[in-house]
Amino acid sequence: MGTVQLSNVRKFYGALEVIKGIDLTVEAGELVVFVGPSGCGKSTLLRMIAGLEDVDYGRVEIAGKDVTDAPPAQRGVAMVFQNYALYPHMTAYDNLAYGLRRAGLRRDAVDQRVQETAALLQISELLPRKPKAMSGGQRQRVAIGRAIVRKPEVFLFDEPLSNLDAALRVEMRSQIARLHQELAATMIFVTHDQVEAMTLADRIVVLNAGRVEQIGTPREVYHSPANLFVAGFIGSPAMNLLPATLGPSGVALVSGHVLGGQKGEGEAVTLGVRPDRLTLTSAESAHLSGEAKLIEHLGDETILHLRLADGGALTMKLHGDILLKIGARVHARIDLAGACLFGANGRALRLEGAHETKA
Amino acid sequence: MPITSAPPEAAVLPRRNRKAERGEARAGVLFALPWIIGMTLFVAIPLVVTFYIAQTKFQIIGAPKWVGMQNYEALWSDPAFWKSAQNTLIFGAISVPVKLIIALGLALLLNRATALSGFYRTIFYLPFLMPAVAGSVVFMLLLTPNAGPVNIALEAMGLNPPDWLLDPNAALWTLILLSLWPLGVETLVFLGGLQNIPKDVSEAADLDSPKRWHKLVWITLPLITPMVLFNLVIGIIYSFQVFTQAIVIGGTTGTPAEATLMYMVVLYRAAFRYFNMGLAAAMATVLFVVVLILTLLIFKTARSWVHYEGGEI
Repeated sequence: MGTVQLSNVRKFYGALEVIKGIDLTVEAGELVVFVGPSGCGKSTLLRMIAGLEDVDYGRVEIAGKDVTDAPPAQRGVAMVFQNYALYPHMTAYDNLAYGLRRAGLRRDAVDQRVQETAALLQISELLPRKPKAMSGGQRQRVAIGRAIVRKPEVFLFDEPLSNLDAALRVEMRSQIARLHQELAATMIFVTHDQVEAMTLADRIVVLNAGRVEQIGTPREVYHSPANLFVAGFIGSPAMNLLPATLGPSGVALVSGHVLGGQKGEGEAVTLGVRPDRLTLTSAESAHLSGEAKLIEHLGDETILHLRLADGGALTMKLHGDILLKIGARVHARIDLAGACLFGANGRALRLEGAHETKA
Repeated sequence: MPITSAPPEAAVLPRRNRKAERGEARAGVLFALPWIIGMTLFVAIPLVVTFYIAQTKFQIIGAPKWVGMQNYEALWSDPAFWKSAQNTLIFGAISVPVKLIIALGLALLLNRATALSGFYRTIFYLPFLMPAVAGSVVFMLLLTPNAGPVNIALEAMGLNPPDWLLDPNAALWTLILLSLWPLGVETLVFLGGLQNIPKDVSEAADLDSPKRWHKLVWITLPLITPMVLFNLVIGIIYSFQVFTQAIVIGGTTGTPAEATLMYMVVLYRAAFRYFNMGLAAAMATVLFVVVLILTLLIFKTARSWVHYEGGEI
């Protein structure tokens, strides 16, 4: 299994720069997830690695070889597409066998590889069927089989689960995780679904507007976002971003409450607090108070959307089924141990008193 | 390939709402009605009338007189019928496949996404808008033995070009050559098929093999087989009906020495020169039966080589 190294890769559509100089190394056997909002360039970057998009500047190396100008089939990559992209006129067997046959493998060797792969993915009974006689989940398993059967250096997944229903997505996600372990394969996975990113990734690459915002383990990205974009993008419900200042006694909220921690001389900062780091409290000990505007009962937890006195919004994630009425006055207390601090430039500041997170 | 006990394909497909389907079918028939009426009036009824006239002696003036199979017997012993049938068969057997291959090549070129692809597509389609008569006349001028630009160019290259239109050995080939132009509709049909191939399927093929011809033979061609079938059937029908170019170049006698005498020209001659409508109708009936049999044969083989995305025919 090979490494993937991107050195200052850039891509233009006409005058528009869509990939703005990305450096990235994916280690052998690692599963890296590209995540970001629509149009951030994650799929384009994956397609540049696959050779389906030209690299305008920079270099792409796969398994130590410069493949920047190599055609897709000579890069040692296999790709699983969002819409499966199975050859519609071929049976599942022929879909798997096609690449091997064209590479000149003998008939019995092709058959052995196809049968082994089908057994691994439990799709043996689908082999005689054409794609139109399969469900979405079955098609995607065949598409994954077509990638595996070629034994590539690197697997590329372009939002492969987004066309599947929720239950199937969970099942396929765990199947991909299992394959990653069994094959010890290098995989790059593109998704806009954070749950997929968090559960599958060894490392997450958060992209925005053609740039890398942060590279890190799921825990690092979640607990120590590098900037406001990552803080707002990763995590659902999203992190609360509260305007604050650094005063002589520590972080001070707009409401006047001083939380302690980092001291300063009145610099404007943003305090990031995950919704689950807020607790209900009494009016006297509250850091923030607001009116309940929306209450989502999820059974084991309750999501509370508040309108604060200063007009801002606050989301709380509370354990259990909390009985509250819309319009109720709610008092919240911030647990500074799980909070993040961002400077005026949007970059993360080290917050004294916040707990350290290690991957 | 291993045979496993997979359930039949129909078993995994959702069952349709039959009642809604019936309502849709009624609406469908209503929408198609104008066309069905036109088809009945201008195709089906004339077809039956042709079958009838083929068994009569009918010279436009006066009533048709029943003669049974006499017209077919007359055809059987008519050398012009056999000569024209032979010419038409040679013409079709060469021009149809060559035309399909060139049209496919053009479509593959036009399918490449470049900044000018819209421009190129228009340029390639424009000649099709030119009437066949005008096109044939232009080619006659181009191919004039001494003063024609084609022969002047060939002679300048040291070649000894034939008298394209008057040499009995060359004239049929010239007609075949002319039939290759223009290729508008065939190219357009292929282009439509090529553009219908999902981009990711094409990209998956790029990832599976670096060789372009692999993708052409195993992925692209199978996916446009419905268009190949369409162009093949239409091409055969048109080639059997070749008329305009043949009559402009060879007149009603198939000059030179009946080399360009085509079936439809003989049919036309029988009907509107000799006013022998019975014989002409018999020729039309024979042509209809031959084309029908050929088409049915092609459709029968099509099951094994044509891939339909929506389901088999």
